[in-house]
Order: sequence, then C-alpha cells, then structure tokens
Amino acid sequence: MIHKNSKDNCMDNPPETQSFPPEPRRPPRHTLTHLIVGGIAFGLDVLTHRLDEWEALSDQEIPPVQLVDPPALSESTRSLLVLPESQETSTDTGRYALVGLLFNAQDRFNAGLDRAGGLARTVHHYTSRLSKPVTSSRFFSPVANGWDALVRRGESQVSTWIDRGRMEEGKGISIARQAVQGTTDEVIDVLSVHPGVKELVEKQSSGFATEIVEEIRERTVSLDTLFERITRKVLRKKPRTHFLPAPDEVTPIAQDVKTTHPVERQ
Amino acid sequence: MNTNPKPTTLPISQLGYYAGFFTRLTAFFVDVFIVGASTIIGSWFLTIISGMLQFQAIFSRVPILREGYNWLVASPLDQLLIFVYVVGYFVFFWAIVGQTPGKALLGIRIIPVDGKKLSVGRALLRYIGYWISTAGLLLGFLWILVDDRRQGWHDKISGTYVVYTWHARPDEKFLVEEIEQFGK
Repeated sequence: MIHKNSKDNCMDNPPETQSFPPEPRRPPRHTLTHLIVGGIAFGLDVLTHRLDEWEALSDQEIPPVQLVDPPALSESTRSLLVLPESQETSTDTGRYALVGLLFNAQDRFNAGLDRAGGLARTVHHYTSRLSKPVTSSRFFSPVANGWDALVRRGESQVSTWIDRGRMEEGKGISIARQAVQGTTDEVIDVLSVHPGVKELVEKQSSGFATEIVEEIRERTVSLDTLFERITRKVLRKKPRTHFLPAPDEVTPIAQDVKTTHPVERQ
Repeated sequence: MNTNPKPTTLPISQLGYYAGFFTRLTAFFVDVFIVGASTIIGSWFLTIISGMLQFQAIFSRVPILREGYNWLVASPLDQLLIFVYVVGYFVFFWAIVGQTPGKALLGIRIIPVDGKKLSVGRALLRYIGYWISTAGLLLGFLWILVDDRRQGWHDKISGTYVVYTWHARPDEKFLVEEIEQFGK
C-alpha cells in the first residue's frame, strides 16, 4: 500500500522537482578519538608543565629533609628543616616507609629499564657478529631477501602511522583546546547569570562602597579636629581638650541611623 | 532639657557629638556638586525638548504668543527657577529628611535644639542664615571652628545643631597623636 502511494507520488511529480531524501548525517567518526587523544596530549602537557613548576617551587621552599638523619638533629635545627614531628607513632613510621618504598621502586624501575636497554644492545651486537657468516651466506639469501622485504614493509607501515599520528594528534590537541576554551566560556557565562554568584558580587561591591565612604568620613573627622587645633593655635587659644556632646534630646535622633561598626560610646 | 551636658575628652565614638567644620564643608561641596550637575543636565534636557517640539517656530506664527515667548526668553525666569530649585533642594531635604544627600554621605544630620522635627519655616530661616554667614566675609561659617557647640551663624539663627549620625572617629594614628597631645 505504501509502496503504491509512493509510486503514485513519483508519477505525479515531474522528475526535476523530485525532492531527494536528505543525506544521512555522517557521524563524527574521528571527533571523539581526536578529543581523547588531544585531551590526553594537551592534559599531559599542561600537567607536566605544572608539575615542573611545583617541583621547582617546593625545591626552593623546602630544604632536602630526606638527606638528614632526624635523631641526630637538635630541636631548633629540626624546626628549621621542617621535619616530621618528633613524636612519631608506628603508623606514621609505616606510612613513611611505604612512601619511601614507592619512590625507591620508581627509581629502581627506571634504572632497570635503562639496564635492560643496554643489555639488549649488547646482545644484539654480539649475536649479529656471530650470526653474520650464516645470514650473509648464499644459501640463506632467499630467506634474507624475504626478511628484508618484510622489514621494509613494516617500516613503511610504521612511518605511515607516525605521519598520521603526528597529524591527528595536532588536530586532537586543537579540538581539546577548543573544548576547554568553550567549556570555560560556558562556565563563566553560567556563573555570570547565576543568582548566587551575582549576589556575592553585589555584596562585595556594596562592601567596597561602604568601605570607601567610611574612609572618607574618617578622614574628614580627623581633619575636623586638625582644623580646630590650627585655628585655636592661630587665635592663641588653648587646644580643646574636652568635647561637648549634644543635649540628651538630640542624641536619640542621631542614633536612629544605623552604622556598620558599632563602638561603645565613652 | 540638659543644656549643660558634661564635657568629655576626645571620645572613641562621636555619635551624637557636634559635627566639625571640615565634614560640614565637604558635605556642602557635595551638595553644590549635586545641585550644579542636576541644574546643567536639567536645562540641557529642557533645551533639547523645546528644540524637538519647535516651540519657537510654533509661537512665532501667532503674534500674541510670539510676544509672550520673547518676553519669557528676555525675563530672568530661568534664573528665578534655578534659585527656587536651589532653595527648594536645601529646604526640602532639611525639613523632610533632616539631611541633604551630601550630609547623608558624610554621616551628619541637622537637629533643632529642642530635638523636634525641623519645620519648613525654620529650614527657610536656616537658608537665609547661609546668606548672612556669607555676607559676613564667611565668618558665619568659620564660627564653627571656635564655637563650643560647633554652630555657625546660620545654626544659631535657626536654632539647630549638626551632629554625627555614625560612630565618628578620627583614624587610629591620628587618634593616638591626639591622645598623646592631651596627655601632656
């Protein structure tokens, strides 16, 4: 039935006005991969940069405590070197041992890797010298040629991967950077319209305005006294040592106004 | 009414104490600025409106209206309006609120000596007192510096005090210097 209708429709419509169904939207095949790869590369780059900064800062601030034997130091020296508290519990000691073990293990692992690399190079050096008569012989040449072709193919494949990886990583970093920037902008936009944040900013602004007004008032009050002192000096009058408060009827009206810093009146 | 309150040494908080010369002068300048700025903006606004509505063109077509318009322009009506606005500004704020915006900013308030509300008549009298204080080579204002209750001539004429409405205090350093001075 449906087929018939569609057929009828096709016949009614002239061929040039036929509306083609929209092309299916292609899924962003590599976008997510780009984002993951770029995010890792970009994040690692930023993290490494930060870690270097923090490491440099901590090196400047804290002396090398791990090289000092704690029991051998006096109390004053201990406080200077920011050592752990003298009264350590067994739990603390155990924790320190674990932390030390972790760092030592990392160092040993790195050293082991270096040693393994060196060993592999040495083995390759000697085995290639020993096997050279066999591999360079005429009987072995078909196998050697096949092997060389395989190696060349492998190298070509790897170099293709490297080129592609270089290009895609750059693209990925660019996407990750855009994603970070976009997200930051969005967060800022959300914060700028968020009532809680707006209220906080308004409160801070009004606090700042109040502070300025208070400052101006304090200055003018100081100058009130200063001007009077100068005037009295010019008029050869004694400086005012006592101040008259306003009559009792007046004071309550003045006190109607709320102030921000209540101070006990003498 | 306690007409002779006990004098105190320089108090930590001068709330309810008589306001000094410099605070009052600053408040006055703030008010002058507000009045001046609002007058300029207002007259500019009126000029724009009258220009847009083509008053001159409309009035010039009718002889009687044209004469009236010319008389209005030639008369000192604008000056009179400005004068009324200035008087109205001070009297309104003194009588209705007890402090002008400038005084509110500096934290001072006008209070009649009987502690009641300031009437419009007394506020007008205070404004006239301003002119008298000015006429005496500003001596009426400088009187605040030497008077025990920090009253100018205009205050004495209208029977008003100006007091701090906040916990007024000089800044810490200044206060210490003052206390040392009094200790000698």
